[in-house]
Formats: sequence, C-alpha cells, structure tokens
Amino acid sequence: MKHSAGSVTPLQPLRLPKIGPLGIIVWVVIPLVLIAIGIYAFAQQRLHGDVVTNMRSVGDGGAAWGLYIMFDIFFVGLAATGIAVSTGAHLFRIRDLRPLARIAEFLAVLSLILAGMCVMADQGRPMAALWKLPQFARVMSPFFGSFTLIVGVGVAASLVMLYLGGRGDAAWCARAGGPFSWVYRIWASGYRGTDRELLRHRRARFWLSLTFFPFIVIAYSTLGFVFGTQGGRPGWFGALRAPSMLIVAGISGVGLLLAIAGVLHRYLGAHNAIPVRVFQRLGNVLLILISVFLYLLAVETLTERYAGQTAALRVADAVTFGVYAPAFWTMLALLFVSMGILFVQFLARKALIGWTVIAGLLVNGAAILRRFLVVVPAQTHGHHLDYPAGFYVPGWIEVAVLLGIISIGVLAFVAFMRCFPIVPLHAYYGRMRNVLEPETQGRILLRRVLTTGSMVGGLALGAVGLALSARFGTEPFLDPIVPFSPVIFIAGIVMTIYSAAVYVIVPPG
Amino acid sequence: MSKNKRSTRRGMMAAFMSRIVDRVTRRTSKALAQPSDSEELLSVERKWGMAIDLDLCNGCGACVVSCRSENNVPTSGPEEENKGTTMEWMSLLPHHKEGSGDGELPVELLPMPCFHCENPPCVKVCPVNATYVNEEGLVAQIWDRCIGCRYCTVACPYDRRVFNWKHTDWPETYRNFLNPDVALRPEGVVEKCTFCHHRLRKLKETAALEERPMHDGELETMTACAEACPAVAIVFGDLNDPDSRVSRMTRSPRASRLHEHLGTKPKVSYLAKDRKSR
Repeated sequence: MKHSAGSVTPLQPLRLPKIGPLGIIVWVVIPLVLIAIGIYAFAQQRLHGDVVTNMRSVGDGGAAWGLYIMFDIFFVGLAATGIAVSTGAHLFRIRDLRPLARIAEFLAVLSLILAGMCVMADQGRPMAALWKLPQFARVMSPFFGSFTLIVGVGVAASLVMLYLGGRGDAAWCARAGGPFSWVYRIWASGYRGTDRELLRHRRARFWLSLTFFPFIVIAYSTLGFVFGTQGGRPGWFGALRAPSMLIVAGISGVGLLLAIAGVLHRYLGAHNAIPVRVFQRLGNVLLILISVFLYLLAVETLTERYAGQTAALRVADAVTFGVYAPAFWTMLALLFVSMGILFVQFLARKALIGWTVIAGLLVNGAAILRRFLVVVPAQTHGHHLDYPAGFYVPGWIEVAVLLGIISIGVLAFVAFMRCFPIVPLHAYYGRMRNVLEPETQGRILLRRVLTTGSMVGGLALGAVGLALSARFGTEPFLDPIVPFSPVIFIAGIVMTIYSAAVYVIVPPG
Repeated sequence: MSKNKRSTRRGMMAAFMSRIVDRVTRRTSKALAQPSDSEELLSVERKWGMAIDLDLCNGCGACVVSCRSENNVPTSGPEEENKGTTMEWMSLLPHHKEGSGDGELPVELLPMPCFHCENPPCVKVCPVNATYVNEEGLVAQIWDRCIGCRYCTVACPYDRRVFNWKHTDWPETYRNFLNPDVALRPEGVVEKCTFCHHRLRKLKETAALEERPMHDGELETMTACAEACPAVAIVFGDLNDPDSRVSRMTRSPRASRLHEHLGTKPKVSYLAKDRKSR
C-alpha cells in the first residue's frame, strides 16, 4: 500500500492508545513513586556514605561491586543489542528487523543513559567522577572503554540512528499537529520525503551501520575486559569473559525486543507491521545465542575444574554448589525452559507470540542472574590469600535506587511511545513516494564537502585527542598532556558519527 | 635606615632573594668543583622495599596500631568488623599452613602492608590516574582525584586497598593526636599504605640539609610499622643497595614474595620460619 506524502493518515494505532486509570497507575504513578523512593535512597547513600549499601570491602567478606555494576552491564548489553539490531537491519538489509529498528534504537539510547546512571550511583564520589573523568580519563583503563566510550559515543551514535530513521515519521507527526508538533518540525526540518532523500537516508544509515557495528562489538568487549583482564582475581580472569558477555548481551537484548514486540503486536495493533515471521526468526536467533552461551559456559566450567587452581576452584564451587548455587541453577533452568519453548517452535516452524514473549522475559531473568554470578562470587571467594569467604545480597538502598533508575526508563519509554510512532510508519503503510527532486551540481558538491569535512575533521580530532590522552611513546601511567583531552577524543568520534546526519540534512537547494 | 629598609616589603624580598642566590651560587660552585659522596648517593636510583621475617614476628599487632596512628586511619571496632567496613592499611592476615607439626600452630599471622608492586594491577585500571607509580617506584595515591569507583580494590590480587565507606567523625579528644603530616581522606575514596612516604620525605630532606647520604640504619625502621615492631621483624630499605639489610634479607633462601606467578613483582618479601633454629 503506497501513500503520497501529502495525505495524512490517522496515527492513532501507531502510538500508545489512551490508557485508563489502571494504566495510569501502572505506567505513570508507580514509576513516579519508585523514582521518588530511589531519589530518597540515593540521598541517604550520599548523606551517610556507601556504608548504607550492602557493598563491602573485598577481603572483608564482601563485594565492592554489586547491584549497580550488575545492571550497568545489563543495560549496556541491552544497548549493544539494540544497536546491533538497528545496524544489522540496515547493513545486511534484513527487512524483517526494520519494524523493530526504532524500538531497538530508542532502547539503545535509553539503556545507555540508565547504564550511566548505574555507574554514577556506584561511585564513591559521583560529582568528582563527573568532573575528573572528562579531565583525566585514562585510555588504558578498561573503565574508559566500558563507560566513557560506550556511554559517550554509544549514546551519540544511537541518537543519530534514531534521528535519521525518525525524520520521515516526524514529518508526518508534524502535519498531524498536537502539542509536540514543534518538536517534530525541528526533527524533520528540511525533510521532503523525496526518493533522492530516502536514498540519502538509506546510504547514510548503511555507512553509519558499517562503522558502528564493529565499534559496538569492540566497545562492548571492553566491558568483558573490565573483568577478564584481571589476572589477580580468580573467577574473572579469562579470555572467554568478553565473548561470553557479548553473547549474554545478545540474549538479553533479543529477549527484551521480542517481549516488547510481542506486546506491540498483541495489544497495540502492530500485527500488520510486525509479522509473525519476525518472532519466528528472532526466536531462532535467540535459540542459537542461548546454545552458544551454554557451550561457552561449559567450556569455562570445564577449564576451571580441570585446572583445579585453588582460588578459581573456590569460586567455581561457590557458584555451582555453594552459596551462589541457587542463582546458578535458576539461571540454567530459565535458559533451558526458554530454549525448550523456542526449540518446539523451531520444530513446529511457527511462532506463538505469547510463548515467545515468555521466553524473552525468562532469558532476561537468566541474564540478570548471570551478571550477578560474574560480578559477585569472584569478589567474595576469589582470593589468592586466606581471606574469609563472604556473601553479598543487595540492600534496600541499592534496590530502591535501581528501581528508581529502571522506573525512569519505563516512564521515558511510555512517554516516547505516547508521542511518537514506535514502529516506523512505512511498516504500516508502505514506503512514501514523491516526485524525483532535482539537485544542482553545486549543492551536491556542498553536501560532499561538508560531510567529508565533518568526517575528516572528526577523525583528526579523535586522533589528536587519543594521542594526547594515551601519551603513546611515553611512560604509560601519566596524566593526559592536555587536561580534558579525553573529551577531545570522544568529541572527535561523535563528530565523525554526526557527519552521517550532515550528509542527510544539507537541503537539496 | 637599613632597619627601615629591611622592614619594608621590598627590602624583605631583596634580602630573601640575595640569600637564595648566595646559597645557589655556593652550591653550584661546590658541585662544579667536585660532586660530594652525599650528592652521588642521593642521585642513586632507589627501589624501596620491605622484608618481613616471620620467624621473628610474634603477631603482637604493634605494626597495625602504629600504622593506624601514624596515618590517621580511623579506628575500627567490632561493629566495623561485622559490617565488613574495617579500615586498615596494615593488617595481620591469618595464613593457614599445611603440614605444620612439632607443636606449631596451624596458623601464622602475615603482616600485610601494600606491596608497592613493580607491575601494579591497581595502577593499570585506575580510570583517572588517581593512583600511580611515583618517581621512587612507590604506588602513590592522589586522594582528591579518586572518584571512588573501587576498580583498584577489586583488581589488587592481595586485597590491600580499602574503600572509605563512611565519613569519619574524629572525636574531639582524638583530633589533637592526628598526624599533621598525613592528610585526612574524604569519604568515598580508596586508601592504602604509602610506605610512610611522608616520613621518607622528611628523612631525605634532613639528609639533604645535613649534606649526607641516608643511612641504611635510619631507613630500616623508617616506616611506622617497622619502628613499632618490638621483634624487629619488619625492615624497610633500598633494594637497589646490595649491602642494605633489606636486600640481604630478600636474598635469603628463606625469602619469598607472595604469588609471584601473577607477575605483579611485589616489593615486600617474607622470610619463612627458620625450622633449624628451633
């Protein structure tokens, strides 16, 4: 079904329909209450120190990293999958994924912001962190890749993807009017919906995806390096840490996408836009990812047990048969149940939306437990010396702060769904077409010069920032030559990414 | 008139500058004439280290108490112990021995300072360079820069870094006894043993003023823990000086470093119990 850009189609089925009193309580009031409790809990943490949390010194039977870091990894994992789905849809031209691209992009932006909040909640001096990290960030620390780079650059790139992909729909929303039409007008400024423009969009998103896809794999791997490179921490040290975390990120991300898509399909009238085969194919992808993860888990466990190094074995014992066994076996059970659901659907060659949603939610539970098992046991049991073994369960302060953070995410997602088509309009109505638009040679040249200039300038800025931050060829553990040069590095990469937007927004003349 | 001149700001500045110029000129001419032994010794690259003789250590805990007192480390009681928020820069770690017999206890106590590793995992991971290896090879910490991410505490294989979990309210009676040479750390930063760097600096300044090298004898008990040890089990010194006591102890067949296979190259050696002497 083709529509011309001139006709405005009612947008009601594309947005979250008006919700009744119960919906308002569930989606608005409860998140707001949880946010208020979270702010109170965080204020307590700041007023009385981190002693009010259940985190404790490593070696004193505690874990110095707990719930916040677990969910930092979880959110970054969701974002990584969101970006992978969005870029994958454009890079490999997977049409089935395109209806989910916007959910994935928005999920990526949101998850990265929530991940940043989790990290900030974990810092002993969050205000100092906000100031010192841009000033002195060391490229050699895995923390740089896992936080500064992912949260800084990841948010920028996801925003560009979201911006480019949403321009057409923003133009439609602007025409439909409403209180936010001025926002849509800014978003869609210069958009004409011509074939040439669509081509430009597609080209920009393709190249952005091409550069960003490997970036997210590398950047997310640094999160694995945060743990995997720690030779002094048995239970963390290992080459499989990064790939295994990447796979779990894929599992949780695909699972959540399936759950959201299922809700949209069943309750929000997106059954035409998100066909059942999307669930079938993503379900198969999830099945493969779970199988790969279980393989990696088996390899990891076998290696630890066969080598039998005392400290590593102590961690493995605590996880499989000790104090953390309930979490480990529950994780395995959740994965096997999800696998069973998906495998039956794979054999039957059909997807039952409800069951797929359940599988998507179960694997997320398993992914959270896996994060717990990665972060915590190595701290409470992974000692080379005779420190006493300990145990960690999050306290109410951490839980309240985390629920507040998650509620911010829920509220933002609901607000976005209420204000903007969460499934791209062309998934409903087919692609918009318009007359061919002539573009002068001068304008084409201007576009190329501005795009190339922005890209080259960004790369140069990034290289200068990296050289100033990393201090190649000198002592490795020194301050950046110029304060705030890590910001120059990140600004350079962000500028390179934004060159895709420059390519699109230069008006045709 | 001259009195008036000296009392003016310009006069004071002139007098101050002339003294500095005089001193620099005197030193330069002296240095150009012939380098003294003390200067030669002061310019030698040092590698500070520690040796702990477990045969002498009786586990009295004097090192722990003196470290706490010297470095303004907040006191910890049973409450902190139970909560797991104990602050100790130097602690006694019970080490379970295998195959101990002849009436020996199955547990020995290891005095545990920071090992000031040559390849420190904590320094590698710090995201803001708040911990670094200083020009004397010591693993130093900039309290004010630390953001409290605790990455160093989880990276240290010896768990020798402690996080400042809460604000310390020093009782009024304690405040007069705090060491003015050591800064009080803010809440939310990671702390660790500094090998009493402030004492080392003082010792160096004294030696430089007296134009003499630092003697191994004064270095041996330079740190608060070594000074307080009644059995002289803890010895500090320059590992690069082959004649220093710490070097000789480190070369002993009884000496070993903890978990050398990790490649951290700790600068603290332990001398095992001498069974022959029993």
